[in-house]
Amino acid sequence: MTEFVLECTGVSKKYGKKEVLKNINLQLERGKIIGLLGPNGSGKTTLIKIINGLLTADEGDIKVSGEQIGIESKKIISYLPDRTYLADWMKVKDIVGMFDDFYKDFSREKAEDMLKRLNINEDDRLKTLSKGNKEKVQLILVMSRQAQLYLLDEPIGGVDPAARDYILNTIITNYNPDASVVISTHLISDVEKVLDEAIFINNGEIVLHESVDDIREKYSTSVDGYFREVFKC
Amino acid sequence: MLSKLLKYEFKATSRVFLPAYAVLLIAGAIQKIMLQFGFYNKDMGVFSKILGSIVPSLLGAAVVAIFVVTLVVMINRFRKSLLGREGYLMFTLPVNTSQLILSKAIAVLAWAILSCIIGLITVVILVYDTDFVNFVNDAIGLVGEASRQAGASNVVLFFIETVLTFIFGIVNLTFMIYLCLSIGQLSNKHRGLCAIGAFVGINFVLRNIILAIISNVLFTDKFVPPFYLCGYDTESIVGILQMMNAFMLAGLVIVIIELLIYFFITKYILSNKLNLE
Repeated sequence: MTEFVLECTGVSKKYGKKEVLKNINLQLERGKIIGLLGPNGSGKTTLIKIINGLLTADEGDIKVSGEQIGIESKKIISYLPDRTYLADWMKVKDIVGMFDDFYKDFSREKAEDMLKRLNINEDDRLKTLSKGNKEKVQLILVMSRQAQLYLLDEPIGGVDPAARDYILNTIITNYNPDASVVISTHLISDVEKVLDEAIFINNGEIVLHESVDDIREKYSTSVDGYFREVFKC
Repeated sequence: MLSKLLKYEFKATSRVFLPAYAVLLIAGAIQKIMLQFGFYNKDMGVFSKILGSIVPSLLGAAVVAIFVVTLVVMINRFRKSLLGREGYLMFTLPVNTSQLILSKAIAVLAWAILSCIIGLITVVILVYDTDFVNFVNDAIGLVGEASRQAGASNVVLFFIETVLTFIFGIVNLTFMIYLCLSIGQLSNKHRGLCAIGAFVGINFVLRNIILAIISNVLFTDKFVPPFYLCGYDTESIVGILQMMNAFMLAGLVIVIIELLIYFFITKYILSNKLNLE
């Protein structure tokens, strides 16, 4: 097993003339929960999509557990997009079955257990679920995998505070020393308590990558406070 | 993995096709019963008049609907399930791009063939009577006669080529639509418009190039002489059949080359230039 779960070297991406990622260099260790923090339009989602293979970088190299982006990397990444990607006509149990079919590391019992905990009926059609419940189903699917890299893009944006706590708890209790979790968000105060490391990204550049403890010590403020200072409008 | 993708593709598409087939077959059966008992001819007042106009138009609508549905599914399953938000799931599954494209294409081909079979069954239900049986017998006799005169192998080859042209024709159209949609998704703002533009472009440009190749390169005296120089005896059934077989084969080869080109460009775009909304 490689030392780093994710290595990005010189990753750049342009949309037309607009540079959205500029020479990103990043190494993520295993066993960490990492916040990918930045204002809207800073390049968070673009970076995550590139690591997933949903976009191709113009330049640079990415390795996930030593694997180039491809089928092998997709087997070990568990990705929660910033939108619902579920087909409306499916029932909850259909999509659970689909994950079970395609991902070897998926635990059906774990998913069923979490669905029960959040009072989501497996026989319900996804069409009939509220937006928040759809997001919960997606998060349950993603967290029921035993992946090496979890990429969660805005995982708590659309759910109520009670569910937020449950979700963050799920993330922590799913802790595995071989895996790392990247949470992209701008709701920093909510996730701060679970983070080990923080990455600040702005205008397509990484401006900071430090452990949360170091940030608190060095700047004698919370990550949220320091974020507000760095990205002051 | 392709079999798993196909399983979900058939699950997703059967929701649309099975009810459509049911409507078609039921409407066909009702119409048949009406005709059988001379219902439309009996004087039953307004009621029979209403039914007499509703059932046939329902049947006609169902036939048209099946083919429209097939085309719509061909377009929409690719557009929505791969290039729409469901694409976020499909493109992060541990499968390769070829498998994703093929699963969509194989499913739609199977439905297109099934649609034709169901359509045929409906027609047979409707027109089945002694005249129809005689007609079929005559047709079989005609084929037998043709086999005797033109050689069974030529007739068999003709049927095989006809079926293959039909099948690969559908695949060709499917892959062309996939390519157009893939080109369309490269645009950030005008996906639909770009896809339509690509469709027009591919058809005009490609058809003209192929026509030019056929008329200027292939079918000159040097490579393939025109049929009147090929030595086919256009006076005899054998000669005409052989000529038709040769032409169909050439057409089939072109159709297959085209669809391979469509497929590989689509695969390239989706692997390297994916641009999900």
